[in-house]
Amino acid sequence: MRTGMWRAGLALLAWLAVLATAPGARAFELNGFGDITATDSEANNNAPSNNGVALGQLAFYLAEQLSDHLDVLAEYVIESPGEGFVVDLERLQVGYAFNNNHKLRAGRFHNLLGYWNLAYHHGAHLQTTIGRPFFLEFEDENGVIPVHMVGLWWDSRLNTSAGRVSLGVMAGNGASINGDPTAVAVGTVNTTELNPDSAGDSDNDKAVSARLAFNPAAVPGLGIGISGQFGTVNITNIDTDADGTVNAADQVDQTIAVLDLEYITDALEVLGEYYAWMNDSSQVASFDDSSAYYVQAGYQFAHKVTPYARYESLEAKANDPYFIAVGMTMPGLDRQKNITTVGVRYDLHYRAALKFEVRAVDDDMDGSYNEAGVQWSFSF
Amino acid sequence: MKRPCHKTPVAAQAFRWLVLTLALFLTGTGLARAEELVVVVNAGAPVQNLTPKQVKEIFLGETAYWGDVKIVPIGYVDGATVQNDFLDRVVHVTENVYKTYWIKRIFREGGTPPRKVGTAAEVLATVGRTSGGVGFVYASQLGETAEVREVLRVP
Repeated sequence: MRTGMWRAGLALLAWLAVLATAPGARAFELNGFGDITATDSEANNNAPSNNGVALGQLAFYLAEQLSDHLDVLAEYVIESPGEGFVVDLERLQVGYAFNNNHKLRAGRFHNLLGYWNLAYHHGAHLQTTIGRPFFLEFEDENGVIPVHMVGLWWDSRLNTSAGRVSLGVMAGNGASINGDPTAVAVGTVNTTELNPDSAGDSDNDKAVSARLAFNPAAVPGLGIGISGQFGTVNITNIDTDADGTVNAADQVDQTIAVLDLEYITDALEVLGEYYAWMNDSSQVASFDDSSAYYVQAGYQFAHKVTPYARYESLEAKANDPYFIAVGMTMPGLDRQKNITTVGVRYDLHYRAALKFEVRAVDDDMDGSYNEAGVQWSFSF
Repeated sequence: MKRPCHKTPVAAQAFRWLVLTLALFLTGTGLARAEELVVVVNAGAPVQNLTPKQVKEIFLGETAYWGDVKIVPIGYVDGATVQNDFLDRVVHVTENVYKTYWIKRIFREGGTPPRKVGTAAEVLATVGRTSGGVGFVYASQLGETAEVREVLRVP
């Protein structure tokens, strides 16, 4: 299966190459990101990525203006889930720009939640650090937010003398989490991933996300955003109420609220985001809300050397059925996980950088340990 | 009380040479920057004049339409002197920062960066035949052509 997907990916790239070089072909640029990352971790969870060199995600994306108002963007990612390679269609969107300020898109997008998810996503080279904050990981890498959405995306902006106001609204399939009762033992950490339901909605409740952002004219580089998502997460075959038996179905009415703040100049980068999850379960009567945040700062010297630091923290409340279902905690455990990162990035070129960092992890579930990482990231 | 100046003849001569050298250097620098940049648009474009801020927004992709007309900015291949001059004087960024900006923008929002051509003649020809075309050349390269219209001069 994976070999087949790998071949399909190569066939797609070959087709694109032929298309681009054919006589009279429309001009478009095939761009991409990639990285090679080496990690040395003291974590005691037997993950193959703990020690050794890993190929990061190889992302290909292309954008094309089809007509004066129509454009299309496609993005494929080739990645290794640990064995072999898979090809994922990450984004496919067609857009219609009504004018400078209003645009409607349809397809599969990066969700509007927060700043990081839209700004960097698969572009490891674009972000200063080696990786994303752990609670913003992709759905298939133990992520706890739906970083993708399939549906419609309305984008508007308003330029005023005080600054720019941007508003984006997405509506699409709600996410689901489908456990395998034959593979997952009751009372253990679930390993099933969050599914953004790209091939169709598993329930009839759609999700809506929105982000309102303001960039004041008086302080170039400063941005503040509030965003959120409302939807129902359909959870099947997971012991979300911790009674020792698998629940055939649990519906979690979910609200995610996000506040983000960023200040980015030629040299200075300061980022911060706060996430709060308010989940209402059909199976679990009462539990506290879970939350997470990160703050990150870096300063670039001589356009090349950027020392940086980040602190990230997640508090997944015991008995929160959503966090049990995504495997971020287990029944009875108020899980707190904190990571402190210090590193330095050296830009070899505007398209390539070396990053060196150390991380101190303090986790109620996996214990405390240290990690070191080196990454060579690039774009093309 | 003001003290008289007691420079030695050798020191005074060295000082005069220093001043003269500096003046020549500064004059030379000024001459090199004296060549004006001229921003041109397709003759049918629905604009009469553009401000440097408006031109900057066009080449950053922030402004993409004049009413219903799609704006098509035309730039130069990497490393062209006139391109770097334009980025310095109008967009206020280096070439690498500009290219990084477009990598991020396309990845985040889609869209296409300014087209790239090799010479001023190609810029004028492309702008002239492209509805919504916008480009820039040095003033000495402008020549007479009915297909493009000057909308801004940048000293």
